[in-house]
Amino acid sequence: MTTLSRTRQSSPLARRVWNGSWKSVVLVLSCLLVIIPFVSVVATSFADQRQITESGGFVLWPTHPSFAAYEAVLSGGVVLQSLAVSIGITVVGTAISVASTIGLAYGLSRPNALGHRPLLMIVLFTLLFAPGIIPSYLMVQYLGLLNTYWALIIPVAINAFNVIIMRSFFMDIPQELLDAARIDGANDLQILLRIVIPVSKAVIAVVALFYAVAYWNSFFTALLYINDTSMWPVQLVVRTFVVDSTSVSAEVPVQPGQTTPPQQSLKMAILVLSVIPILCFYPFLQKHFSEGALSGSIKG
Amino acid sequence: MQLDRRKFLGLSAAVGATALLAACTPQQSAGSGGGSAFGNLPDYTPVNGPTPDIAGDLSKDILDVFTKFPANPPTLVSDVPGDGSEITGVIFISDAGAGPSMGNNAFWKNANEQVNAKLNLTSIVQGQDSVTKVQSLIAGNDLPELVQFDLKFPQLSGVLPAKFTDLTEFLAGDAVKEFPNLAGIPEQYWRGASFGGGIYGIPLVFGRMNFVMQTRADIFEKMGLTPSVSNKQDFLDLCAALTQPSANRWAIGNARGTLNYAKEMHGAPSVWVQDAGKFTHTWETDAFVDALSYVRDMWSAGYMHPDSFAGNTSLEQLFAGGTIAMSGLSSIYDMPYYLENYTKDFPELRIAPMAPPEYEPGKTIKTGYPGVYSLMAIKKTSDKERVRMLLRVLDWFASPFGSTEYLATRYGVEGVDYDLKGTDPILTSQGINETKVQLQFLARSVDPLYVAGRPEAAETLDSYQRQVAPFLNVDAAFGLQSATFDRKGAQLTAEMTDAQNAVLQGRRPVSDWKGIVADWKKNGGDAMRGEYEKSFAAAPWN
Repeated sequence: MTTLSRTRQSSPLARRVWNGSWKSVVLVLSCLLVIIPFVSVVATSFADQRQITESGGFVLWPTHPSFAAYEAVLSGGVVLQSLAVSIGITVVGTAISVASTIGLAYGLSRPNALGHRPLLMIVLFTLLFAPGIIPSYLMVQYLGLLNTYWALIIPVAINAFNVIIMRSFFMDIPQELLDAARIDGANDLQILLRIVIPVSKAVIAVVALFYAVAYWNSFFTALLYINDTSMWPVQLVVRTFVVDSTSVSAEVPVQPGQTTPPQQSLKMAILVLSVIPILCFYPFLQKHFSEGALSGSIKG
Repeated sequence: MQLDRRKFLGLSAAVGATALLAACTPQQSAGSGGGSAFGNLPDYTPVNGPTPDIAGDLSKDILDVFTKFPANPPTLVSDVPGDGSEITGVIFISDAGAGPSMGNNAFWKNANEQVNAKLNLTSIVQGQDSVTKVQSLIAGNDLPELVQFDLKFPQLSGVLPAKFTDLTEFLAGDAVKEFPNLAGIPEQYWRGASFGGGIYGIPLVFGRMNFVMQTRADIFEKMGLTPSVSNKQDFLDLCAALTQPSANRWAIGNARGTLNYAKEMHGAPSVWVQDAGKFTHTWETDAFVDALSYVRDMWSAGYMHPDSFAGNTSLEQLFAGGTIAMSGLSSIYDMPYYLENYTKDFPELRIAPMAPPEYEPGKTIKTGYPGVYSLMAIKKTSDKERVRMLLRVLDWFASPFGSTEYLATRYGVEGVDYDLKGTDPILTSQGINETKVQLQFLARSVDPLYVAGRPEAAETLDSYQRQVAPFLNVDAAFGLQSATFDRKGAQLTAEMTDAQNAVLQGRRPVSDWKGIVADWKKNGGDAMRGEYEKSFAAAPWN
């Protein structure tokens, strides 16, 4: 009873401190859950073989930091080359995808555009029913795109989800604004370029981010369509280092013919290198992220 | 006729499914599933290579032992195998990751020059990546000339006869003598390449002894223990003495390797065992149930590392770092591998293999595996001269240890990819990077045990292999055909592994195992048995 009274009588300041403390603890724990794996990846990339082996594969702090893994990764040429390929595909692919998506979304957002309803149905259909691996392969082969960089861009150039986001945003633009431009003598292309795009920077930024991240992370299309390893993007190269194929074929415990152990620090160094560009890119677009992603979602 | 959306979708799905099935279904003559037809396999003629320090006998699963690389490596293939043309292929990537492409790879370019061909190879991660890629290539009728197949490739017994060349006329019987290094692959390995009466690939071969129980001899010595057991209780005592969680040490890691040693101690066979034409799976034996119970007790006693059920990823690190003192998931080649790669960081590292004790007085069993890692198949063609040329190239890659060809396929160019330390080739950093392109996956001979500069380790390993080789027990179903296994084998094995782990971890009682096996038999186990028995009756090695 006394304790209860005391609790009831506790000052607002104490309550605020108490509320603030447990929230802080929860937040700190949540942050640690996210941060520790990143820290471990970076720390392991700088650790030496003995420390990694003794700790069972991952370390949280390198006792004898070494750049050996990065030197090995960057001297071989494979990873640097694949990084250049990925940057190229991401830049060109994102530009093509954003331009195509803007054009398609604008067309679909105009209620009186010719055939816009059947076209919208076709776009929505691809959202529900994605083509299978083999039909996609046959189409790419038919188009003569196998073993070209275009095979990594054209089949995935337009994403229906992004088109829908952008279309919704365009439909929210006040009709009066577009009518005013038309009265001033602007045609559809001029309206798109001078009115619609400038007021839609937020959604364009977020769609560009979606496309860029998708191009950057993509490995499966390269696995299917690219035979020349010198044309591989970085994610496919990363995959060859981090996928443990011994678990696939457990009949042979250590990969036959393997002359060196899979170096954990090397794997982690490649992971770090593959994540850096997207980490640099993301903060600049983050402010547009929620605005762009949500603005097209609610009409009214 | 009106075609509404639902009918259209249904029809499209049916057409698509039929086309896919047709692409992957064997021709009638392929004889998949019944396994009633077997052709002759190649005759075995040992290759006259360099003389080992300790001579083995492959027909008895005893490997040659070398303690140094031969001083004057002979060239075993006198003719240039290739015709200067381009050879396309798909091979696996090693765990070490992707290597440089041909233009930036001295090791690869040297191999091209040596065989007089341009080896245009695509490297793919083994497993699902490789399956997806090859299935796409088949569907697109875009197959390269050489394709490396995992033996678990879906519908392999149908795909090979439908899309790849039957090599019987080039290799069966003494025809293989035209390719002397391929003739040096013993008959038991060729069984894995025999499908529906034909030979559909070159097996990628290794010594057949695996699940070798390796012990950290240095840790044992420090604790006053001996890496040797004479019965099941001895092993438990050893585990109890080695397990010190407060010192971050457990006796053993990896449930699969532990269970396998327990199977050996209880007398359970490797996988399928054949007796007078009747097949029994290890899961059906009482010895297996006893082994399950035994490992379950080990797990509950805490002798096994907490990550023992988490796959093999960290096993190597745990063993080399001394966190676990024993590793049961090792091939016969692992000891030289560990010594070569880890003694720089762990100079104290010493390893001794530990043979399984007798499970009954006078009776021992040692698990082996078929020793075929994959198959290298040649795309279907009627151009026999082309096939001969491709086989000559593969024969060159199958040159044995100690030859100049072996140096080129494993080590590359002297002074660039490797330097000599004494007579032993040591890869340079460039060599380590370039040899990640696994040209040896095109074809290889059975490697000897090469324990460079460590005669005492070589002797230890040799005495182990001679002790257990007579009791080597390999899956009796290897090389036999089962349509049920092709169709459902992977799924059934996964279900049984899950159930097995549930029992070992105490989530299900051991008494459940009988019912689990009954389900397995009903769902395909009995069908597989019938097909294997029928196939065995027709097998030439029967």
